[in-house]
Amino acid sequence: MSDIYLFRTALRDLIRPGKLFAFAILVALPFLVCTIVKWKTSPEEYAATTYYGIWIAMYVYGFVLTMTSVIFSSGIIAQEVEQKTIVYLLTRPLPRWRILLMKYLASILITTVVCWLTTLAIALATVGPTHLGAAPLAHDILFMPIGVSVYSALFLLMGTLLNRPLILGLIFAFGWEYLIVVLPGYGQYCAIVTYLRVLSPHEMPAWMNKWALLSASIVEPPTRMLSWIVVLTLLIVTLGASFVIFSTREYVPREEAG
Amino acid sequence: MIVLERASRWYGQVLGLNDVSCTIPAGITALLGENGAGKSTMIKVMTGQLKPSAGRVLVQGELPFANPRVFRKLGYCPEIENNYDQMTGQEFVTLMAHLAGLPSSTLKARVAESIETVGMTSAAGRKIGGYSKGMRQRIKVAQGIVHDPDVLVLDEPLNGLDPLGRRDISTLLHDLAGRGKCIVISSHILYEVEQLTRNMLLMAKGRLMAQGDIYQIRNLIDSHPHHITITTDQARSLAKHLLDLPYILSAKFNAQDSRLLEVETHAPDQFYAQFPNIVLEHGYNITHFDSPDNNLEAVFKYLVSG
Repeated sequence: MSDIYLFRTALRDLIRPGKLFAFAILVALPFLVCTIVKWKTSPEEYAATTYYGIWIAMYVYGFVLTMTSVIFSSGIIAQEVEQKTIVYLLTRPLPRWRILLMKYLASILITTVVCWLTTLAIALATVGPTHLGAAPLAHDILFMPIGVSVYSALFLLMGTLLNRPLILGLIFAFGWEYLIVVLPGYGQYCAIVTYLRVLSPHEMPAWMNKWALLSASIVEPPTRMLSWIVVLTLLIVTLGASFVIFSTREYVPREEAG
Repeated sequence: MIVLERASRWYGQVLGLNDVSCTIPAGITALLGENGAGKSTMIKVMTGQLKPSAGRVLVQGELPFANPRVFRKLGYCPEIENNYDQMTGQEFVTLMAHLAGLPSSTLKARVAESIETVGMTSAAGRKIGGYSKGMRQRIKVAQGIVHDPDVLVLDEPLNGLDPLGRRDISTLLHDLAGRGKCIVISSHILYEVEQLTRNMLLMAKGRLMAQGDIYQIRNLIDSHPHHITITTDQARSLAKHLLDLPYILSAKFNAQDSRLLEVETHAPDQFYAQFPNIVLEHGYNITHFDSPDNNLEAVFKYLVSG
């Protein structure tokens, strides 16, 4: 019962009006842009599923999913520590790992819903409401929670280890993940996005495929099997490590001593 | 009961708590010390937020750090002013009650009861962000007692409270102590706790300077003379009689008020026993009698400066 109440409280905290406004912009922006592009492009030249693929791969997976995950998951502990309200959570008889789990679940639920709504908005604007079956919408809807879970677990781990995890999380999400996949060699194997792209492929224009194949021209991309193993292992290890660290680490700022 | 056995805690090179051993029994115990004396570190160690670097701490016989069994019996009212400002007082206490594992059947009633106990029923529906400092203190106390803990630790709970609030919280703490609860209350304002309890722990520079009944502690400090001021119309005559007593060190007249006599003794108990007899025997009219050394401030000064 206490777990459910904590989950609900965490959920409510994540959908406060200010945050809802930001979510609305994230969802509305691609819808507007895609609608304008579709309107400006002649029907013969307009490749709906390709546009859908670009937006999902670049905007949803490359921005919304990572950005929302890093903000929410890295802040699960950091925010409580910063506001000093962590003392209320850590002096209650609920095991620490369960506190973390409930907050993590609330975080991935909201992130997933935002990604779903964005994906749906993009699908409606690109392929249209009558041709939704033409895009891999169902696959994206099913796979997105896995992508959210693995990114969120990694950022959660950063949050349990670091006092200010947001900056490092942003550097990872928008620096490392973007840079490493275009470098030649095995570097792409060190980016989560590589495995997510294998597991959730999207139709891309030829020029983008050539650019993306810069590294793949030297090293083969991972197989689906390997991608599943890496993603699930990463999820389990980062989540497990977060639970262990949160259960054993002290979360009292040094300046509080005295 | 809380037991500290040679507990130390350091932060890198900084010593927060230095080899502290003590037993805190049922009843109200005040933890006193100036800012930076180590009170907060000691409280954090007792409430399982920090692990001692050396020694150990036991709360109701168990190590408190991340120990749910201890937290079922422990209530904690932190010093921080930050609460969940976006929540109402009712929601905050309800969340804390849920986290404390209260069963659904009793939870609502317990929340209402604890809010009522701290006099916050009428403001419970308002957001904490709009509360005054005193109201925040009260709602923090409410969340600390909502699960009826055996041990209650309050970090500076009287800060920001008006006289009425202080009286209410004092009454509440006395009630809880009367029910056999172990209550630790920290403060750097001495007169506050002096009115709450005589049992105290005095901290300075991370060390426990003294523990026990404040008056007994005072009496043990024989190296410091005990000052007593007496106002009477016959100050000179009284001084003559008092100086005949072997344990009176000095008697001084006040330059501004010739009726005011200041006496120094190294045996206050003997003096207090003998003094009424002298007054009655010689028929002195005593209009004022006071000892500035009988309050906590004086004891604290002696211990810390000594």
